Amino acid sequence: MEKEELEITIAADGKVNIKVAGAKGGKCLDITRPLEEALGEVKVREMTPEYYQQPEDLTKVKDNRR
Amino acid sequence: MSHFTQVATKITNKEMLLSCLQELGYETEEGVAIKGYRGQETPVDIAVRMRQGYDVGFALGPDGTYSLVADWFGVQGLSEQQFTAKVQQQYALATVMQQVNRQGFNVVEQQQDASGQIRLVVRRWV
Repeated sequence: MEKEELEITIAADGKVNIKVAGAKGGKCLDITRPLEEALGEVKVREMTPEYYQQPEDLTKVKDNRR
Repeated sequence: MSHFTQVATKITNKEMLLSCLQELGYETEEGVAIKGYRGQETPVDIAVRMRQGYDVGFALGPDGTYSLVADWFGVQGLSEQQFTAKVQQQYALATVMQQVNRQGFNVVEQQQDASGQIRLVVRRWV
């Protein structure tokens, strides 16, 4: 089991920031995409070093896609 | 840590908007007109009854998002910016909650700081 965590801040004016922890590679984009689509328009997306790490188990990534 | 995303909230879900306005303590009416300066009327999709002064409303635009309509000069009690911010934040919170629940996350932390910013931490095991 792997832990996936999101830190979401909603500013007083409704701007939302989402930070992903625990998910490696492109998988993290699959986690936040439904949330981003429900909210509206992505303004900024910054990749952190973990994005460029390959997940250990590729089948897991596949299972995670909708 | 994998990435950061900043999203500008768009109000597109009518049911969600109605429940947010209710949550904030406003009475709403659908498909009516709101009155402005000299009794001029503007049709809106959702009218929000204010305690004093003119009412405000939301109109659905051609792009599928709801925008605020009001004659702010005559709306009393709060400014356009305050009202917009309150509704936007409530809508964003409700949307985030619904979506993270759908994705199987549990809320492990929720707090609001002095500036009014809400911070949520959600977690799931996969």
